[in-house]
Amino acid sequence: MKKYILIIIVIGLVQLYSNKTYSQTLGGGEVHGSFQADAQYYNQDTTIGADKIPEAIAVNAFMEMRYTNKNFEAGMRYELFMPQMQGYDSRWKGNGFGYRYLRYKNERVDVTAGNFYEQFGSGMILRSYQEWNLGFDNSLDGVRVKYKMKALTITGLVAKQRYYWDVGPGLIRGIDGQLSVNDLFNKMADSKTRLFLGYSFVSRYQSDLDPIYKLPENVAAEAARMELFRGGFHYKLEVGWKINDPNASNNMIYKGGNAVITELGYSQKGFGFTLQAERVDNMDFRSNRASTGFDLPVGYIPAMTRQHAYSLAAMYPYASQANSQMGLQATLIYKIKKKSALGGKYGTNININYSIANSIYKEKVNDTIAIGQPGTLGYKSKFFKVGDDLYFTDFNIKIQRKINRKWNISFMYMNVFYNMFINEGHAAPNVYANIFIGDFWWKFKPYNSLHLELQQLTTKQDEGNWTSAMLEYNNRGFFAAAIMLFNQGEAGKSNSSVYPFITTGFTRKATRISVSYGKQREGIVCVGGVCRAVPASNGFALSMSSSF
Amino acid sequence: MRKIKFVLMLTVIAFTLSFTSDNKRSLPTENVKSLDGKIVSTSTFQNDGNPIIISFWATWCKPCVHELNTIAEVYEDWQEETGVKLIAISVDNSRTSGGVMPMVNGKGWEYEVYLDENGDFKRAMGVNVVPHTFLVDGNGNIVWQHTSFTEGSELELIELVRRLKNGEDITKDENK
Repeated sequence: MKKYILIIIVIGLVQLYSNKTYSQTLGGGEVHGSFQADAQYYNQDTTIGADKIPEAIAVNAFMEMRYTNKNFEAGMRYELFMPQMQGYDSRWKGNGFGYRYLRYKNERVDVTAGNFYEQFGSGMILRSYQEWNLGFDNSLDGVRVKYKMKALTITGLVAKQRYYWDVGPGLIRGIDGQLSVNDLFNKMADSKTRLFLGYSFVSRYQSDLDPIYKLPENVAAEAARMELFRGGFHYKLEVGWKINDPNASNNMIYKGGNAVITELGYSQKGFGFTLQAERVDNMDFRSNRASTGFDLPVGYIPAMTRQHAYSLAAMYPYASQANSQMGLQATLIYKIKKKSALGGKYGTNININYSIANSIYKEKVNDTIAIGQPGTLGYKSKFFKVGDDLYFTDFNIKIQRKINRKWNISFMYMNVFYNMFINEGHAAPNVYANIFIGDFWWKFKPYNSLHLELQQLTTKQDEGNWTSAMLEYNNRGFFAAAIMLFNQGEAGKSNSSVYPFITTGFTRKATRISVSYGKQREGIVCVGGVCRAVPASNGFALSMSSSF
Repeated sequence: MRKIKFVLMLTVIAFTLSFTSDNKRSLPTENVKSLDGKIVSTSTFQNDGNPIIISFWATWCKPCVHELNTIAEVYEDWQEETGVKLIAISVDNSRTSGGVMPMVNGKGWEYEVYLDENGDFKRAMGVNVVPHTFLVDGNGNIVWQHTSFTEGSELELIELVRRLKNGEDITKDENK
């Protein structure tokens, strides 16, 4: 086995470093893929959850290749965690082919055997996906068939779900239909109004070996959706429900689950607005009823909040609560016209966003049963009644303007409320924080630029105030950056800490190599022209990625 | 044992292939979704024989938005000069995809924009991080790709488009 792995790696390296062979073809077939490797040497550091490891160096790497020839396709991904970098689940440790598939497709039929990623509608009752840098992969391993007709596409699948180097115990069966109503009737073909309808059904089978409870072995979930477009307007609605599914995440209650996600949007040139609402009640759906955390989710309930790309703005992110949440999000984007008094020469972009997440209302089923008591119906809820617990709020406004050919600046203000127990699972005071960000780009030559990013987070709770400054230099594919993050520590205590970090590297075509040294928190880092989720680390790191 | 055979088979294929080369890569066929909900096959991407830029981006990705903003300022000139078309593929998932249309219109981008919520096209193109930009020639072959966006990347991009438009083979480029 190891021999083959070696050969593949050698081929990969040959491909990466040969400039002439941009792609490989034979008999009309092609081979393409991508590669990424991250190696980290750890310094002694107990404060950030990334201390020294016995192996000294941790390496995460993958190489994915796919071969396509007319209607046929085969692909695989070799993955290596030797050992896994700090911050990744220890169950990743190991190496092997975590993903492989065969696929045949033509204009009507698309059949996949092996691993695949799939999403029904918004993913409410079925979504499998991969986030390599977050150490997440719940790909389905089985057979999927898609059949496409003019107005209707049907997808059917039978699979088990990937669980680190194994598969989960539950068997997933699913079917989905997506109908384009306009394509169904000739009269409507050219209508300005476009309507889409969809329906999906997913069932999980897991045998009941529970000594106490009689559990449903087949758990069914359904979802129906519609999307409507007219002019600048769009409206989306998805409604889903699930039969009783006592599981580890809902404390073994026999209540059924339901969820509603809806979105209304309007936009025209220079103006965009969206309003989204979500209500989720006991909808945590996994392919193993004993799993919690990030293990084996079948359904995907999105956090209806902005995904921030500034490190301090992303410091307190909302964790979606699939068993109880009512959320609302509004976003407004406006561009003040260029060459106007307020807009300046190039115009000014304004982006305002507000989101709030709350618990759902719960009351006792009857006088003798406590709310959420295992083995009972758990609780009763009223659809429109908001629960008592506030989980999260985020108000943020960002203004960006290109001053002239050389200067581009933006400012952001954010106010966040973060419920500690809900989002992190431990009792600590809830966080109220204000965040101020200034972002300055100076393009002093056509290919040379300096980028200064200043961030300040103020809060009386948790770890107190944070300050971050980043200076970045870019010249064609080359980049170098220094980040200084400072934590004042909790009020009244002298436990401040400093996180110095330097990084440099270059990008050439689709290959990128970087080295870095220093201490960094877990989070998102945007440097050298890309954004990446990074784990906490202190030490020397080498990173490489390529597509071919 | 079956796994090993499969690996062996693929390895042999890959090994043979790595010694042949014709510098061209065809655009993979996957389905993406237009902003008005239509399912569109990537095989229908065309621009009357002119070059196409395909840019993978996301609403939360600052360098991506910076790239599309920067190109938006000169897009009209680019189109007039070279006939190039930019197709922006959003890799936003269902959490953030609702923000795609407001952002595209709010910022006044004139690009053709599609959603790739399930990441099918992204995987077929071998995209690991965004922004990832591809250049497709008039015959639908991918002839160049690049990750990341920094100031001035747009100048290199349009230079390549010009050379492509002039019939040069940019896949043989050693320096870019």
